[in-house]
Amino acid sequence: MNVKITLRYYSVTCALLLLLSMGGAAQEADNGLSPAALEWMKINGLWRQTPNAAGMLLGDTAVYSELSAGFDTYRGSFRRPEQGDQENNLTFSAEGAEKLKKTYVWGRFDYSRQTLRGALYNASLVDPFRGMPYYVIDQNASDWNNQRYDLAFKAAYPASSKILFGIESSYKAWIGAKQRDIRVDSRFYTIDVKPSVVYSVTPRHHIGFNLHYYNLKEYSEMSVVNLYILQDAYEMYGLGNARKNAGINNGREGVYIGNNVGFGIQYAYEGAVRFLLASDFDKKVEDVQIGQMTPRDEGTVKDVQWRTRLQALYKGQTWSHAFTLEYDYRHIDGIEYVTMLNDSTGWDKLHSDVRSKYRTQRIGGGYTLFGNGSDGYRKQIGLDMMYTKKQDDYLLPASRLDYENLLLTVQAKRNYLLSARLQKRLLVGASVSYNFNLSGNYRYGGNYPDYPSVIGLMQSDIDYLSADYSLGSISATYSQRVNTHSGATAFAKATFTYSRAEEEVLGSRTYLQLSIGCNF
Amino acid sequence: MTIKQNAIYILIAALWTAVFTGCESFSDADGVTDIRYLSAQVTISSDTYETTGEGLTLSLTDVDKGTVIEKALTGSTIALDEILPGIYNLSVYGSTKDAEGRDIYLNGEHTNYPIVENNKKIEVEMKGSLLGPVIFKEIFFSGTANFYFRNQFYEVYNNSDETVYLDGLYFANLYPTTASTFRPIWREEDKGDYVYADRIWKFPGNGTDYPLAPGESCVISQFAANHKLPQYNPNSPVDGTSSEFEFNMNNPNYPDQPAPDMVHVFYDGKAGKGGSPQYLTSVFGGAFVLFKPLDENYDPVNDKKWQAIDQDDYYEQILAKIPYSYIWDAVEAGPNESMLKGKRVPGVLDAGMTYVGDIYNSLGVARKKIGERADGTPRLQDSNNSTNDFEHGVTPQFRRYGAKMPAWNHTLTGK
Repeated sequence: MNVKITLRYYSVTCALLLLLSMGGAAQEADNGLSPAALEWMKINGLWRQTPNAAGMLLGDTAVYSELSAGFDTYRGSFRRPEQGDQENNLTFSAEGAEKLKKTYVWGRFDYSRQTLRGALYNASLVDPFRGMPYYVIDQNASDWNNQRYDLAFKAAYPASSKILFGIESSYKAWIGAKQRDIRVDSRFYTIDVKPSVVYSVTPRHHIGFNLHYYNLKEYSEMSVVNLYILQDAYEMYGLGNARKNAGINNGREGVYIGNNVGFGIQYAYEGAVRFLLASDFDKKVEDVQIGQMTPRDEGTVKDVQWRTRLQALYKGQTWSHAFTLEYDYRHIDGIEYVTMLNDSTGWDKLHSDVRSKYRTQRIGGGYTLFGNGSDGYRKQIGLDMMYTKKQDDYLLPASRLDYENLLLTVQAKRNYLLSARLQKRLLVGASVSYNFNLSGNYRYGGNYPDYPSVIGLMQSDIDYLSADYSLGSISATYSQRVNTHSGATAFAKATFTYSRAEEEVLGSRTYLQLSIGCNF
Repeated sequence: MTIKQNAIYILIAALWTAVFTGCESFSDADGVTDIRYLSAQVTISSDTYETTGEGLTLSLTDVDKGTVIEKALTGSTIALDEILPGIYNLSVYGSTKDAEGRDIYLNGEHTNYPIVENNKKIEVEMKGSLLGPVIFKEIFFSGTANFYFRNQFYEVYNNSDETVYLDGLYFANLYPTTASTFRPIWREEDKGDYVYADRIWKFPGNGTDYPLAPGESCVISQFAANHKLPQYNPNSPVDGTSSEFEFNMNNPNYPDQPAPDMVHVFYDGKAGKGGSPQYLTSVFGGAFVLFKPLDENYDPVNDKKWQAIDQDDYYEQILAKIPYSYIWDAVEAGPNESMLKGKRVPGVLDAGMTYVGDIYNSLGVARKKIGERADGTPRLQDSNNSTNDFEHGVTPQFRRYGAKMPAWNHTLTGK
């Protein structure tokens, strides 16, 4: 067993022990939460939705645990091409919060085992949508077997009545394996740290600040089993521009190493209306090298993200109102290198320049009306809107992909009390969305316009991303206490979603999720 | 110091190292500016041939991205703009005549040449090579699914207006046998105006046995059998029985065919054929030359001055040096269009590269037809640039475009 696997098992074991011990403590407190109550607690905890862990102490410091296991499946052709025509996920999650003297701690562990069927093009990255233009594609639709381990914890400590300290950390370890030549064994991890502080100017006014650092590494090893067939690989460098690499039979190693630094500031007001304004800035630089023995610099991305979010919550006697407004901006510069092989020194880096730019802007808003209830809420109805503008440019020779979408969603939920005995409840929900595509274009001006990277991957992608589509979803969650003595609440949940593009040729996609779990 | 303290120190050190390393990559990335076009000035010169530059063409190919800039020269200096920073194959080429009135192909080149700064002055020394009367007309190297490679063949053609005797003309495939970005490391004494042969064959004959008239083709097969027979590969696109010659490697499983054998000359420093059961050239695409030594004592087996070793080759295979001036024709093939950076053949002999894009796909490369003689035989394009001169990915065919079979073909003489 290698060191990585050993560490991973230790991490998983530690997380489970932590969460189960929290559950034990919570159980003693007889403080069970139904799914609706847990949802309401998280909506109420405005600071929980920021990267400032210290702020958790300003909200409900509930002690709880939740375990759940589920299965979800996707089917259908309306998707991005790298997603599977079919996708199955087995998931397990554990989440809990506990008070350790004055310190409030929260932890979460997620595991998923994912199987993609008929995923197109991607032949190198576990997550091809993470904003990395330098990866490899091929033309063989393939299955992928992926596993994801996500661990996170937050801790908040009140240093005084005015100053709160906090820290949030997470560790992700994802493994992906493509099942058909060109084979890929890709391992991705991030380790993330966010120290934070909140200063309470008055009991009503709070300001917060956090730092953010994470380190990312992905090691993608490609190989070919059937050496008698020449497998063409296309090394992508943005917007369909690609270099054909014939016969990757000798293998290829992609090494991605990134570092992110950032900070966030928050201001919260606690009054009849509570609101929280949070703004986060992150900057990541990720270098890509090919090979480890004689490494060649392939590219670098400089990824800047700025997110601002305003949340407001008013709790009345009968009704409560939640309002959200957010703005996200992301700008990625794709830097390419001119390299030349030197027999004695390896690949020399002769020149670098920014050749591609990827910009995404999102403006969203939402309003939800809650009918107050003893268990979280009785009912809710909400309206959400998200405007997305994407503009990607390959500078020279010039290519461009751009689109604008407006997504409107109306959603409603009702929390029925079926029986007071054992608190038997049924939470049913439905939502309807419609995506209005306002514009969408892909113009390729580079060499080899007949490459699959252009006429296959990019064209399919823009067809999906610029589609008008409708989406409907229904869900039902049944919950009840396990028995009259314990605070544990068991639940079973089912969600079904159907999306369909206006253009028939793009097809439709269904999503079914089934899960069971327990809160205590 | 407790274990807990140790763990904290290690964690702090690890975080510090990560942040410090990260800071370096941040400053590097922040210093990078947007791409912009570069300019360059190319000046040609030649010690051997007089040229004003008039009629020559400059070709600049980005070996990674495939961008090609072509310009006609009107003088010995030409200005280029709108060049993107990159690694280029630069070639200035065209035809002229030497003092004896022979057709000469002029070429000056820089291969894998970085252009990353603005207003770069580029000097190009022009060299010349003979436009040989006999040229490669068609090459089938990729084989047929599943993994059948014995149907490889090479068709050579008399593109001139004079009869040429094949007797004693050499055929070689070059080293490295497949296109590669990893360059051989030659010993000092091996460097020069040479290509390096992996294996050399020679046409048999006493000087006048095998005349090739204008418009006639000669096919040399790896194995001159009917490959469509059930025991070989019925999917094969070619029947090799009408080949003029074959490369017989004395393999009892693939016995000698009626076509006369080529004469084996050289492999790994010896005259013997070695242990290989067939003469298989790379199905990814090899590089091939036809040549006639100007030095009558050319003997790469017994005279070490014609031998070379790639110092980076673990097996230290002995190769044969072939001077540019001996070469009548050279063709370079590679896996696909993006392997220009792996060229083995100097631009003065072949400024480009042809390909079929896959292996075992039953496709070959055939030289383009640019005209016809009065007798209907074709005139073929020969600009010493395989990228331009060849149709790639064609179904292989013997004597395409009405090329004639020489009268001494064994199927006509019955010998």
